[in-house]
Amino acid sequence: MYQISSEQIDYMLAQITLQGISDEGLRDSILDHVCCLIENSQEPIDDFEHCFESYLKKFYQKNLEEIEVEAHLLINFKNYYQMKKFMLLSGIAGAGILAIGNIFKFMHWPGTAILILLGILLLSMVFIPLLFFIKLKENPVGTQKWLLSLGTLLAISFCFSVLFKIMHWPYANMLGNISVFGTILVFVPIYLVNSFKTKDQQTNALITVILIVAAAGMLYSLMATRLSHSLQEAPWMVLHQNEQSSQQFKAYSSQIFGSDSSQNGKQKMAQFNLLNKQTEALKNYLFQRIVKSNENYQLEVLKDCNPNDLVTSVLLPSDQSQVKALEEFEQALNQIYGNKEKDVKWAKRELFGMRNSDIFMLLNDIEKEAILHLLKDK
Amino acid sequence: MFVEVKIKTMLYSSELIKGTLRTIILKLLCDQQKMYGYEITQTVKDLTQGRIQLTEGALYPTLHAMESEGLLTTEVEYIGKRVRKYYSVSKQGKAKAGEKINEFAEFMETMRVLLNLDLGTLKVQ
Repeated sequence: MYQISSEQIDYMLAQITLQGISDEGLRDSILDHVCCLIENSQEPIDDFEHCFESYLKKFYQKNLEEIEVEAHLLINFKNYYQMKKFMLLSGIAGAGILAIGNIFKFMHWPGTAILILLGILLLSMVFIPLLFFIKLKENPVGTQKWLLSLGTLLAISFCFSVLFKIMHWPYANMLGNISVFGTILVFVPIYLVNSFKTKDQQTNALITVILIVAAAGMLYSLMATRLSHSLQEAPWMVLHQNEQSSQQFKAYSSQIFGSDSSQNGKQKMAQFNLLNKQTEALKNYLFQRIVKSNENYQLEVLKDCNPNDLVTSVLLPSDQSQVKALEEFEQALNQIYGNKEKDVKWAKRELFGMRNSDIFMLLNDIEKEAILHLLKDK
Repeated sequence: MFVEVKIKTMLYSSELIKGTLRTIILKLLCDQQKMYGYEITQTVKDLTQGRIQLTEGALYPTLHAMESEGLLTTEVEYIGKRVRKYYSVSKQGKAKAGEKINEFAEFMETMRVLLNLDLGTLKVQ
């Protein structure tokens, strides 16, 4: 039987400690086990250190530290493996549902909103918090614990900002800016300082930071993307034509109504004038809400607005002055159609969710149709 | 888990015996009063004629966890500069051992029926 000296015990103990075993009980157990293996070795031992290393290697797969990590997990986190499995499943499900939701969105299939909502909620409310708790149980020290908490909050905040944005809920941009600027200005510097303390982590940390900054940069580039100038101009050119022909049509119609001095002609002239007044008033009202000023309707001023902004942003059911303007417009239409024809309430419904440039053309078309109705008898 | 079981030259997946390590430890310690880590691995090896070899990477974390759960008690013995830790089963551990062995026996019986195995000849009927 091989006799192990006191110096060799010290050497082995130091090596075991150096390889990541800090728990005294585990260290003693491993040391005793290796000693037993060496003492009971059937082969002669010429190189003690080599023999010790070869026995110790049989204890682990990657490094000796994994024994302590495993012991720690078994003691502190009984359901660690189930939680880890659940975390991975929720992550895969969340990302998968989100991806399917996006395919649905591209294809304009129904159910898009619920899929995207479910995907983002799974990622932000299940996957990220579980990842946080699992990482927390792996015993991060000092700053790492703060970094982990901050990273989790920023990630959840980013998920919510995306959700709020696609759902058109308020504070989406604020949340997005907080999470992106929080990541770049607070998280990244602390992460870099923390990672550069350990030589092994430097390259990985740099790569992670480059990826984060690049992703944030690309995200903001995407958000800042506008339509090309000619494409942006196009809706206004169409509106310009529409507006011109509408005004010409109204001028000719006015002449026709004016030439009829009968009672019926006078009544139609009055109805025409009222409709014209209410249409222009409604256009004026919408214009003022869009450009946020008290100026009267001018196409040139409207050209500076983004044609893709939705009118829903200025038309709200709770807005009493908007309801009044629409009601007056409807009354003018009702007088012409005599409440018999199609219910003009559709106008109110269709005005919601239209593009800025289209809403004025729709109003012109509704007006034109009503004038044609008046001209029927002529 | 780094449970590795070698039966002759065949290496079985850790999934197959996942959860039986505690049963093995509890049963051995109930029979042998007190044992230390190396002794446990050697006893398992001898009893199974080398067909089951417990790895240290699985054994020590499990022993550590069982001690912290109160299933095992420990006492130390100094051999020169090194410390040997002896494990024995606590009262709670003894009750758990019975529970675990019964559960495993029932599981084996269920598997025998399920897979239609004749355990005497180990042939699929």
